[in-house]
Amino acid sequence: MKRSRLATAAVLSAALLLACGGGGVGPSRGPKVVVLGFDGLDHALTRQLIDEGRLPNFARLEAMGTFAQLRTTVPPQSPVAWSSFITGMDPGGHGIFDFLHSDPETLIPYSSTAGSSAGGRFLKVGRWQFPLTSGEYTHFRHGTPFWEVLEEHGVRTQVIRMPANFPVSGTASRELSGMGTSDILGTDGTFSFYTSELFADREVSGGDIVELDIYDNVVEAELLGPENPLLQEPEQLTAPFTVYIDPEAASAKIELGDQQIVLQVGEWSDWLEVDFEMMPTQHLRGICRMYLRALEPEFELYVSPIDHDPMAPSAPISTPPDFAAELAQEVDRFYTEGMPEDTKTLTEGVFTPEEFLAQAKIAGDEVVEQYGYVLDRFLEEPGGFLFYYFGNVDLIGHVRWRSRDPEHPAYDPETDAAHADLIPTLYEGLDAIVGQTLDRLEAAAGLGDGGEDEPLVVAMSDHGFASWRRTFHLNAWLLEKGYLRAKDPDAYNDPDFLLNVDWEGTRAYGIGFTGLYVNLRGREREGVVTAAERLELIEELRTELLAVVDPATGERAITEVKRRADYAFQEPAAVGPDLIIGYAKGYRGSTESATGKVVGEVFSDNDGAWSGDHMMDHRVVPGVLFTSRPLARPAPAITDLAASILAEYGVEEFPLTAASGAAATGSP
Amino acid sequence: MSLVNAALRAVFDLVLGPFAALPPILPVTLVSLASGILALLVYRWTSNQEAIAAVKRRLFGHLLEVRLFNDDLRAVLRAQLRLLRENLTYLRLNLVPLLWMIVPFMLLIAQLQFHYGYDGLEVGERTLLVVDLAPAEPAAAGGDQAAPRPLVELEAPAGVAVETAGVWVPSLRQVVWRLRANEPGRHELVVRADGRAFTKSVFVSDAEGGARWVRRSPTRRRAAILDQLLYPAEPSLPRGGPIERIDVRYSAAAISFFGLLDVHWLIAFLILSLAFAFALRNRFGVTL
Repeated sequence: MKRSRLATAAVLSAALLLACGGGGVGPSRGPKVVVLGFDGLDHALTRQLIDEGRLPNFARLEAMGTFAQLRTTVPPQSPVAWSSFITGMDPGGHGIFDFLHSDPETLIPYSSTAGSSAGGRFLKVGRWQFPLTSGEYTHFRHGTPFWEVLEEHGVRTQVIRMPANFPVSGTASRELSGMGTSDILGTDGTFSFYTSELFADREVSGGDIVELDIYDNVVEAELLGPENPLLQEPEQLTAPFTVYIDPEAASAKIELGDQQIVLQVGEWSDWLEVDFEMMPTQHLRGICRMYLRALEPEFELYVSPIDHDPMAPSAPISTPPDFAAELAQEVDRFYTEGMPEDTKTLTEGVFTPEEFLAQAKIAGDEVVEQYGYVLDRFLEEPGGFLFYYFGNVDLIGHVRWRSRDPEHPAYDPETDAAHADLIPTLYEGLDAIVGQTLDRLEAAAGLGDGGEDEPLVVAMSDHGFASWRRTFHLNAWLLEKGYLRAKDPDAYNDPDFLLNVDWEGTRAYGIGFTGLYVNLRGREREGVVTAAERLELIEELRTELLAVVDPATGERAITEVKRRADYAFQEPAAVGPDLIIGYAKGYRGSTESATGKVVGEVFSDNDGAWSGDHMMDHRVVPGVLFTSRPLARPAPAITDLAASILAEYGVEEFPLTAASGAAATGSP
Repeated sequence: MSLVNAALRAVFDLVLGPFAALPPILPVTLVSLASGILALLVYRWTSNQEAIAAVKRRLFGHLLEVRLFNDDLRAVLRAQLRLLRENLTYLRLNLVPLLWMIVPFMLLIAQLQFHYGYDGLEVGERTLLVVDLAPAEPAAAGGDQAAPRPLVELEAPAGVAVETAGVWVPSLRQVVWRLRANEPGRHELVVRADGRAFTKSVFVSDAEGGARWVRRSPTRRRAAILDQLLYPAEPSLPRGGPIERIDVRYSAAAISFFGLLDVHWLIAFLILSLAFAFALRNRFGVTL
């Protein structure tokens, strides 16, 4: 009888534990560690604002522990630097060298961090096809994430919005994917802009402009989804919606599915559910926000990129899979795409700066609100590790940095002067996050009490920022120098994606923002450079690039060129460029060259909205590192930081190489 | 019908009121128990119990026939035909109690739907108020010209904010406002059209544990018989008036079925009332 009662009690206790959730069994060991990842937080500007007294909580953190530069990666690009943070390895180890890599087989650029594939086998019935094997998302990063090692050592980890972690690794107790997560179309985010303006339909990067007609103040239109994977003949999925316009009230009623909303001109909707019917029993669910821009003289409606619905995501965006739904239920639905601040609306002239900033604020506020919930839950449990990412400053900084730089070629005193204090104000917002974290950890976890297992707060960034004034067109330079041959020298006919390259006469080409590839025989589909010639060519290119001078300024445009062999880690994977270019402060490689355009001028003024950047010489854009107490194992570079965090838990062996799982040595 | 609805509203508000802040599965279970017992009593009084017992015996006999003579195809087919006939007889015998029960159960379900079928609004939440106007007289419509903008106004109490001007949709003869719930409680909106005032109730839940499961009325309609039966949560709008219906959008609710899963209250009600009826049929001496 007694034994039976004990067994019942044990079963009930186990059931209670399971019901309470918690993502693991038993308490997490070691101190509480919170890492706040602030993308693009610049060291010099942070120092300046602290000295001006505008960042009291960062100052508090500095007084508690340390504030130092954090050496970033070569190249200083977000997916590269965050991958180095994740794995403790440089790009030579984790294999992410740029946003874009070149596929030597197809010579087509592709996203460096992740890819997706459809199911391989289908059962075909009539016009339908039913996948027998499921499609999958794959991330291309090599190496072991540091949180996987922490979990193996009994530390429960939460990794929220970590860049370059889509699909989620599945090895943390809780994960939400970040930068690199696609929208429902599989892109980085494709907005739609519906307008009644005649001839408005044009090609824009990162969006679709849809021209439509209005009859009796009624607009019938469709949201655009991906191709229906269940049809043998590809057909785009659509979700119809109707807008009833009332110009007198400056408002409109919008019907989407069974949802009805009223928006006034200049208003944003809450999240709307989008239902794409693939077949009567199969639906693809997404979410979007609408912004009614104007009713007169033209109807203008912006629809955000359609994201995965966190309540029922169709992609692996969280661990456990229902964690995204938990966040949506507890806080609200949210942008699931990796870069929610829709910078393309500004660079493509669809939004005014104010409209873009309103959209970016919505995206940023969601992240901050979720942080409150995540931090509360984190503090309920003993010990544990929490990483939380904030990308607002980086993305807004990219398109509004010129408001801080009157010397910028695109600086407009009328519009930019009003935003001169915008970036510092955003820094103040991050300062409030730091303050919230310190206060909560002091009150709930004994931060600063000097006790055993005292919590640690780390605030770090992947790189800094600088004004991007002048543009270097790498492929145009290669063409001018005779390293690359174009099929058609007319710039207007250049179709991008290296389609204008005459491979027979090309020894080197550029893809990505800092990558230069040798057209290597045996690797590239139409390679002409032999392995014996490769090293000599690399040295020649390196010397020439370091000597490039901008005729307009008389300054050197390139101050750093790194060879693959210069990296500390040498993974065998044949991905990534042969040379990585570090531009001088104020210079950056062109977007045209990055996507494979080959003809045009070598230098140009940067006259776009995208006016701040960091894809330069890594020494001019260091990140920041704040710690609430000195680290047992110092971290001068972002590649060292994961090992330093592990050392706080007494774990010394890191990084682990991808191939062997064994500890690798050295730090670049 | 209006008087019946008014009386039923008062009764259900009174009976279900004490449970408004409790998990809804509790009152749904109690109502299911009462409904199951009521159904058994009605069934016993209105059905031919002897005939039902006899037809069930015959059904059992024909089932045995199928089993015993399964090597004789003609006998099996004959038994199947008899089974079919007895089934139809059983259904016919059930028709009478069903007809007796259909009206009270419709009234019951309609009342419960407006207590447990909708959720929200909560403070800070937004919804739409949609006013459908009666079709315009041909002269007033102005022939082929666009329908003139009607003079329809909305007045809201302090607990509800009207966030937008009324959006006039001529093709639907509809005026739509966006509302925001500011204070918990039941609020009365006033819609003025053609110099007349029409009220519409809006309920805002108290997120701090107050009454949540109370009567909500998502629609107030003209006094057509079917609409009065299906939408009894508010008095009907007058016939011949300028407004056909006034809608407030609430989200659909799901209730927790003893912590196992979330279901629509009607599913829980049907399962529980059937289970109670089956469990208590012998105690009430009823052959089902």
